[in-house]
Amino acid sequence: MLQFMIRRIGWSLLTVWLISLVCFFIIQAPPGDFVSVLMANAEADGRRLTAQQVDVLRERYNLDQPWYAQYWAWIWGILTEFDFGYSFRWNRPATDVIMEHLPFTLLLAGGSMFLTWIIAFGIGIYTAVKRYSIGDYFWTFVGFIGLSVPNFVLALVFMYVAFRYFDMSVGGLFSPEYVEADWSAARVLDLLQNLAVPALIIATAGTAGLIRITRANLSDELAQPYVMAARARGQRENVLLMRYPVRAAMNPFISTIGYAIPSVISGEVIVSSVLSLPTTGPVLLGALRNQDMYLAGSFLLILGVLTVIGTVISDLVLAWADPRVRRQHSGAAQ
Amino acid sequence: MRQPQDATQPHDAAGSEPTEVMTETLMTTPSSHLSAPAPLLEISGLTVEFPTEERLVTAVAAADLTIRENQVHCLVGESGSGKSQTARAALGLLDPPGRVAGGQMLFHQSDGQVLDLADLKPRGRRMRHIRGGEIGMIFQEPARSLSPLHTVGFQIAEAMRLHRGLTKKESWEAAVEALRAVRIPRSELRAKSYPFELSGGMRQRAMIAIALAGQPRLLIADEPTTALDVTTQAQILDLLREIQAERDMAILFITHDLGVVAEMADEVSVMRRGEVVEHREVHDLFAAAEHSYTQMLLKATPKLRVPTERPGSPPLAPFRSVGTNAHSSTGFGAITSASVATVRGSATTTAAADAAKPLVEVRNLTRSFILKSGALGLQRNQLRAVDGVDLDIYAGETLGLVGESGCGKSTLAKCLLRVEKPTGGTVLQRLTTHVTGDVAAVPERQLREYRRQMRMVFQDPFASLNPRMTVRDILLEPVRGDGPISDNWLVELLELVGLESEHLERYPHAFSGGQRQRIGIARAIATDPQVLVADEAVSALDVSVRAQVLDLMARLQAERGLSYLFISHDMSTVEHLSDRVAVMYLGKLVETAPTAELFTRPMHPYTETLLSAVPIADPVRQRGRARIEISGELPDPTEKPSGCPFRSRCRFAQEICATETPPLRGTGEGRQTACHFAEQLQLTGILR
Repeated sequence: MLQFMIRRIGWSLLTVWLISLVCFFIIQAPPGDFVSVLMANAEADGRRLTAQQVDVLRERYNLDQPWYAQYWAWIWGILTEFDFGYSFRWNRPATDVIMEHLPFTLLLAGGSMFLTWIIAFGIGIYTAVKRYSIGDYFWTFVGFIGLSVPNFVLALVFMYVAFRYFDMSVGGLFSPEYVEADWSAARVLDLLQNLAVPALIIATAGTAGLIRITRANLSDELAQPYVMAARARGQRENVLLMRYPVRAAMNPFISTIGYAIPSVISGEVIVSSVLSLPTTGPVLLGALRNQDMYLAGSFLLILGVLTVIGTVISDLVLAWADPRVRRQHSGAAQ
Repeated sequence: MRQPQDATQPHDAAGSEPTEVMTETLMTTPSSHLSAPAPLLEISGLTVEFPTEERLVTAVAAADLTIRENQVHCLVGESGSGKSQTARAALGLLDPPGRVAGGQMLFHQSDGQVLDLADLKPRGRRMRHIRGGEIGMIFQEPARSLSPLHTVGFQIAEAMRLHRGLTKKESWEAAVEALRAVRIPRSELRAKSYPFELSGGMRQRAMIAIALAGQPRLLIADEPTTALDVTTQAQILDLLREIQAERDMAILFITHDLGVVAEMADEVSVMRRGEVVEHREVHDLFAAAEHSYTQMLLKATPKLRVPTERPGSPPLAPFRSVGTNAHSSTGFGAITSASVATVRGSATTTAAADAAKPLVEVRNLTRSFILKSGALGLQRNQLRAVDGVDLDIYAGETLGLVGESGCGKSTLAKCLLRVEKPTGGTVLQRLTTHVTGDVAAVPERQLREYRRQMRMVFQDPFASLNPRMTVRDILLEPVRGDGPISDNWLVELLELVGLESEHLERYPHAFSGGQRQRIGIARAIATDPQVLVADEAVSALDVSVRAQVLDLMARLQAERGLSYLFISHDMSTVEHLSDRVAVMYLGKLVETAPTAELFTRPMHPYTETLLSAVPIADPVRQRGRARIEISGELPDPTEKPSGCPFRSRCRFAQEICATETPPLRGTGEGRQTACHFAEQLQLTGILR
């Protein structure tokens, strides 16, 4: 098990390094450099940067150095000072911009993943056990509707319904009275309330697919002889269902934790725009459109790292949950 | 036997006295009616239906079955006969949409009450009490009948908690004790193992421990040894008999294998298409079966008797026609089989020296695999699946290759065809002049003609035919590039294997297992080969179908002078078909000999053990012979014992066996044995 973990983490460090290279390549990809864009913008405003200013800026970002030195400086800055570079569009350190948006994004992503799992598992188990029943068809139908309706449409519908009938202001992270308030229990509650709706909206998209996966996996597991064997020793149906086949059907889920993070984060771009949520999605989109290279590259790097971490976590959880993974990777020949 | 009220089976009523009153219709066969023990489970008129969208499938049609206390009742039948569904119906374990549509299943409880299992709700409390508490069940595939995510001990302890009302700690101790009771060594350790860490035999022992947890009075064993090797099967059968004797327990033993019936049964019921067609005491059944279906089953089962009657032509037929073009092209029209030293070919022009040479000479063949393990996969273990094998295949002979699963039989076959590239040794051949030199080493592109001369028939008739190709396409595939093929040729080929021209345009799913295997054989002989490698080619088939396919193979051999390498784990089939037999253990050949001699007087202790484990389909002989107990489990192939590979389980092992590997050496006319003491040992065979 320990060997397995060491090997797994070793590989992910290598992956992270490769991701950082790719991200840096993206940062460097546009012709010219960050300062020349700055100069062009300044000229458009009728101002002029002095040669001295340009040199200072070039030195500040090591733009006069070869690319590997620039890469090293960037990575070193991140590793030692948590400095992701400078966002030209926001006119602030990229770190500040990221730190302002990332926590809420993660909260939203985690919340919607949690909701996705709860809903998908519940319905998935139900439809697998009651296969070809009316309930199965009904929930399958509902799931497909969730899959086929675009998220932003759902977001608009939710906004309308919430505003019209519940007098709730959907949109933004906080209700108006709490936006500028200090942190308090009431403010946290308000945040959670405001997050619930977008989380639910984002969750519906992933749910339908997961329902189908759960249903298929569990149907396979239910047909396994060990289910009948558990029944034949007199175990109760509900207990044996959760203890054996459902647990076995969870394994494919666990291995998707890793991919879930980027898909949730990139899936919420439009929803966040519609609901005007200050999450990373719209910021990343803006950075890419405005060639705000350091910010975009840093976002991509963080997303990549999160994905790698997610994958490592899912592997470790899988090893914990499935003895076949755990024991067969620990030395014994298969 | 219980007589159905309406007596719709006239052929079945022989020896019985129909009575009017239902409650007293315990009909008995002549030999058992005096001292018959009290009935435990009386099934009468049981009908099980599976309503599907197209039609209503009746899996069990008014079956009658009475299991008595402390008796082993064998339920025999071929696949689809409804024997498993009968047992499942008793425990309310029918898979949806199956349902009990009629009949009674009266279970006599220990307190004297009689309960009709057909009345119980399948998921109700009382049925759950019966399951595991009064009736235990074990299954065909122990590997899949245990949850892979839970330890064996957990699953046994669960049954202990359910039926003995134990606490968690007590139940674990009881589970360890139960593992000990089914003869699992180091049971504390094994209880913490996961199913995939145990051998097949140990898994089935664990299943037995679960089934016995509630101290049931009836154990239903549904093909419990079918997925196991013959030596493991013998161990499990021994265990079941011992446990049945120790406890106050009856066994309903479901099997397709009449050898197992002869070994285990007190009484036997034969099922066919959902009906019980015959019910008798075991000796009566084998001595004087009444129903034509039972007689057919008995006839189709190899008896292991001397002299053996081989299907088709007798083995020592002096002449065989070898008149096919492919053969003459090699210049080996006349070939002598060394095992019988008789000229079998018709052409006499070939030099006598060539005549005695084998078609294929395998020398020191090795196929090893590297297994990665450890952190970063840096540790490497070598697995020698085939470990220095010498083997000859002569023209027109059938060479049987036997051994337990994992011994390297299939890898050896793949190396012969160069599907897998051997890592050492040579394969010389006289099948074609297209390959010069060692088959094991020549480049892939030179092998086309060789592979037309040596063809393969596969085990699984369902997986080995492409479901998207018609029979025509399947048969044309091996001869693609040979120019235009006429329909006549295809029809002839089909007729040769007992199929008809109208089958040409059909897809594989339209055929039964036996017919598919015939298609597989037709595909194999389409290139007019000299050697067929049949890897467990009849193992998946029912006994009656198996007999037909074996007949077909024997006829093709007689007509076309084919040589067979017949690979099987089934000793009786091998004995039935082979001229010579090679025995393999952990990648090495331990003995080769002419069939009759090997089965009469084996010279290697492993061969003796294997033969001893084969159940003979004759209760008198099977129960009269001494069983040689095999100790221990098959060693992990990556950790073979030093010296002789069999020494860890050999009852004759000496010090020299650990230090020196015995070579395969000549030990008599046409015999070779890899044992230091081959000449001294007086070993027991199976034939008499």
